[in-house]
Amino acid sequence: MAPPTDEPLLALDEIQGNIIPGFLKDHQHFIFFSITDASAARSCLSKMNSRLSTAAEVLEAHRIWKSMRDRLGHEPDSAHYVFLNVALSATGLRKLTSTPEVDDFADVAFKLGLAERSGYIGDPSVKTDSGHVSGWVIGGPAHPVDGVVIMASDDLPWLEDEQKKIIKEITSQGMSVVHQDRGDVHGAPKPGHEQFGFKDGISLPSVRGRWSKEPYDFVYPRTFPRGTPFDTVKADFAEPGSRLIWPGHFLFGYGRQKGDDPRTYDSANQPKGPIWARDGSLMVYRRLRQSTDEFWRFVEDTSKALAKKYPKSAPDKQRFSALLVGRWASGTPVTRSPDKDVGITGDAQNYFAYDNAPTPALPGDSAANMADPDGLSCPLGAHIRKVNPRDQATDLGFAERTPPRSILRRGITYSAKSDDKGLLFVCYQSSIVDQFEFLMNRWVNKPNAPRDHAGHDPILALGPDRVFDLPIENKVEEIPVSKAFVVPTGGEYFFSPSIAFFKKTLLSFARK
Amino acid sequence: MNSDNGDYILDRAELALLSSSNGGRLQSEASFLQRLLRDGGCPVSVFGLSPARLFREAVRHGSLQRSTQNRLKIIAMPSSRPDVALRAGDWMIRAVPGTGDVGHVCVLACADLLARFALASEGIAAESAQPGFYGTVIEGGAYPHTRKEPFARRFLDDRGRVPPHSVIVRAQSEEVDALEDYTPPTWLKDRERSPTRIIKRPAESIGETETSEDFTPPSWLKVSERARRASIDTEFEVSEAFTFEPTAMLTDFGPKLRKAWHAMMETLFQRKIDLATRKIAFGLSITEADAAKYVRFFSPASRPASITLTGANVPWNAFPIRWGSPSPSTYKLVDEPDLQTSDVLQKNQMLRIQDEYCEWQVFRNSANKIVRVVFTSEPPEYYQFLYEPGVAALRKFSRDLLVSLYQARCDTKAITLADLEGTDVTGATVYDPGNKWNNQYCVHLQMPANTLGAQVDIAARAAVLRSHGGKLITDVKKLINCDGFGDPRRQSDPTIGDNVNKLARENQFITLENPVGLYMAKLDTSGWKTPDGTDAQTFWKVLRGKADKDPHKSMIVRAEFAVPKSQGYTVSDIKIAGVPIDFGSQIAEHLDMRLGARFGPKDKDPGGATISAPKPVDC
Repeated sequence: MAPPTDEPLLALDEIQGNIIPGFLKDHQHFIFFSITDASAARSCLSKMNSRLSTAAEVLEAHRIWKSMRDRLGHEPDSAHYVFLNVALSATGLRKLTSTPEVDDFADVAFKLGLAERSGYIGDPSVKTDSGHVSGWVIGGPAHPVDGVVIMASDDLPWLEDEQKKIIKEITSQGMSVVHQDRGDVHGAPKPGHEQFGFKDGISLPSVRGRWSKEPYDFVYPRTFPRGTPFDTVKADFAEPGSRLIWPGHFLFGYGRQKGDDPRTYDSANQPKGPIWARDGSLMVYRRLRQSTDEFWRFVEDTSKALAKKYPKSAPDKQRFSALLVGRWASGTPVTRSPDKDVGITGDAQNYFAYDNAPTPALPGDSAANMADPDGLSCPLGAHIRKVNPRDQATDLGFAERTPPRSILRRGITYSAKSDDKGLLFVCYQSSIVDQFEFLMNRWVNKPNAPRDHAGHDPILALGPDRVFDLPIENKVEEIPVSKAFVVPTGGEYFFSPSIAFFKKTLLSFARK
Repeated sequence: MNSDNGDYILDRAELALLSSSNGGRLQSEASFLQRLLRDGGCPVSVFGLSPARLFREAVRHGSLQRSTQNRLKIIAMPSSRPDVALRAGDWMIRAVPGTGDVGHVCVLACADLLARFALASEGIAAESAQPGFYGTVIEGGAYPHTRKEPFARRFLDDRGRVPPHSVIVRAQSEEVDALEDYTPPTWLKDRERSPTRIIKRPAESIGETETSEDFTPPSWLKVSERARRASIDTEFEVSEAFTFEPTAMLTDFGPKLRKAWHAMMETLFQRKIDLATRKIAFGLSITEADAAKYVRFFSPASRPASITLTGANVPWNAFPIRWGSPSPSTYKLVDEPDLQTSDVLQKNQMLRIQDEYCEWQVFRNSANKIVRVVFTSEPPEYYQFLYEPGVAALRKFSRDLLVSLYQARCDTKAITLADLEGTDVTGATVYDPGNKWNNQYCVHLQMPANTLGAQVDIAARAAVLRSHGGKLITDVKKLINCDGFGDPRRQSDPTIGDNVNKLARENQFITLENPVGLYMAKLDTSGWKTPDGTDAQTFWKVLRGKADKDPHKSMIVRAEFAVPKSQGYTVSDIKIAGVPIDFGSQIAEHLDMRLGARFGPKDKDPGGATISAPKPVDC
């Protein structure tokens, strides 16, 4: 068990707040810009440093918000913030610093940019196919982007006001706006749910690290009940299902997991980049358009076909859709509730695993919790299982090799037009190649990974010959998935630097 | 003599009888004799040879050297006692000289000669009532007989002498020798899947030392595992119904070599099972017979399966993860050989270090651009077997085949057997997997842990349930810590171990897919861009084994990624997700490997009997 003092102090005044803990506001707007005058842009962005929302500020803001909600019994109306972060693409960083500086990043995906990697992560390779990089509205050869301003708030009018000001500021100092996306939790069927209706953002990793030298002053609170029965699970999880990951997997300047032991810190094993990358993180942005009609038609047609072939045991529409995702629309995990949604809520929604059910039970959580190693309850190809195999060994070998592949998801739904809504997917990691791209190339888009006979990820995978493997009546039905329900319409890879980068580093390049 | 071999010969004799002409006595006799002779590998010119002619030659010359070139050895001359005990399969040739008759040949069907009076009590029809010793026969002629219709002829008189007008001969069949004289070759060692050890390298940066877990492997596991049995166990019967096929169903071997391969594989399986059993017996201080009850891995040759076996596929990636995240420096490191201790020569040699059962060799042009990368997952045993097949009589032929296979792989005739040999630490000449041709042309796996034996070893050991402190171990990392099989820093060993142990925990019996091998399944070229837009997948060519649309069925053991000169660009001009291919490792990163396991239903042993779950063995 790692002693608490192994967890490093996180520079929460340097780390931008959308990385840790994430803005988590009802509205999140993305303003994409290109740099037309590097010198002016440098000066402008540098001056912005004191307005960038730090991890410390956002954590504190959330704490206040939660405290008010607990006292009021409902969401507070008078705890509003406008958060601000800035991230830069490799092209933008080269303009602001230099090419040799950016070359210091080991991450080849970031340096090449998303468009160049698009085919590798499974996007269509045929130009005329929907989702091909040539049709993107942001990113890609037609719409290069140098950076993005991220602003978030629960108060839309106030946010729009501030946004106008920022745009005026940057466009008068060497930058031009190339595109804007507006994320809105109300643009989905239900706040906190994605477009197909499923609750999202339930399972997120927790970052190991402390505020101060106090041994137990953890940034991510440990919420398991007190008592020795929970000691084992507490060694690996901050909250039910939320794995503790060493900060170097998300931030430069920190160490990562030592070999195959998630509990041991290797301070020397740090992501490689320029010295000024410390306290920064690599960000993936993917504008994913979702075809709700297409998805539900597929669910309807398939469940009808299954009913004909397996009249006794075919899943109905709702159940079939839950088997594709791995959770019921309410968020109840299929592993714990295979036949119908028994309505599991709260922490219990994420308290499950596949090889072995976690023990002991959480107080008040009386719903069944069974192991499901062979995917008979929750199919091996279900979306949440494809990208997070939890305690199961994978084609990498040990299950302990999965935590280093984790990503911090910070996305939000959007609804621009009736035929253009979906998810603004955002995630942070310290290696796009080993984390986001690994998940897409090796697990989502491959049928025999992370476990054999899983099939492709029915929600995310693209490409020909996709199958979803459904265990039914002692065999496996290979269901072809030919339509694309989630299609990329834009995106780029960014670097979200520390405050010090804006305050000091940028200026040092001005003098060069 | 082993009754198995005798049965085999008699089966062949009956086959010969069936396929011989039955157009009358004369034709039947001659035809039967000719087929028997051909079967024994006699020269083709037996046309016109009749039992009577053979008899005459035997009597005149005292041997059958002339017409059969010593394929037939005379056991007993007329009116004399046999030099050796008669056995099933011996021929009796009769003729009455001067009659111009074709004569008669019959094959002794059972070594137990019976006295005349005993025949009656056995109810066996006999050719005469004269006293003496009779044996049941397989014969052609006017009234053919097989073992189904026992008919006895008089082989010896009551003084143990062969009657006049008869001679007893024995066929010197190579087939017979192949089964009788098989000895497991010395190269067939009790090889474990050993950890990778590069000599004189600095400590590996990532994942080098494991932190101490809650427990350490028990000391008895460190006992030397190289104990070798002196001779093959003959207790297990070779099941006629099951044959170990050559890896990837390759067709290099003829029937004799296939037989020897089967014997070798059966020995390999049995050794691994015995090794797993012995470890348990030693560790728990119980008998090996009791320890065998804990093992859920079986050999289909010695325990034929009457249960239905289901397939389980184990996938992993060809690029090793032990050296950290893929990066140009890692790619370069993995592409190159390094100093390791070869377990064949027991010496240090420069060998490829790629340890996930797949190795590759890069070919560059004068501008240092890659033109071709060759991948192999052919096991070293395939080639060691050809060097020493375990049957002396086959050696010359198999070694010639070995050299010709090498010549084909390396596309040159300038290879001799001596090129493929080396001397081990004892000074013995052996086949050397680190020979210069394999080094250069990547003919087969050479990294010391990349062997078929290692694969079987892991499967056999992972099929044992383990516990720690009384609690069943279900986590493969803890399992490897406990048992010590393979190397935890690979993908293949933990993945294979996890899949096998999982099946064993369900109390299912496990074996490996036949043919046993380590196969390349598929090369994923999504996101690869060629300068002219050609689909990169077209440059992936299977050279040995076969690809299948269903990657679970692919059995590729040799393949190459090569761009022909006519295309106008090289492999290095192809980009994987925007990165040009500068190293073979970059291709290996997208190569899926697999092996196939087979398992039976829960709670049933291979014979179909119900068997209860074994108690886990504590660490």
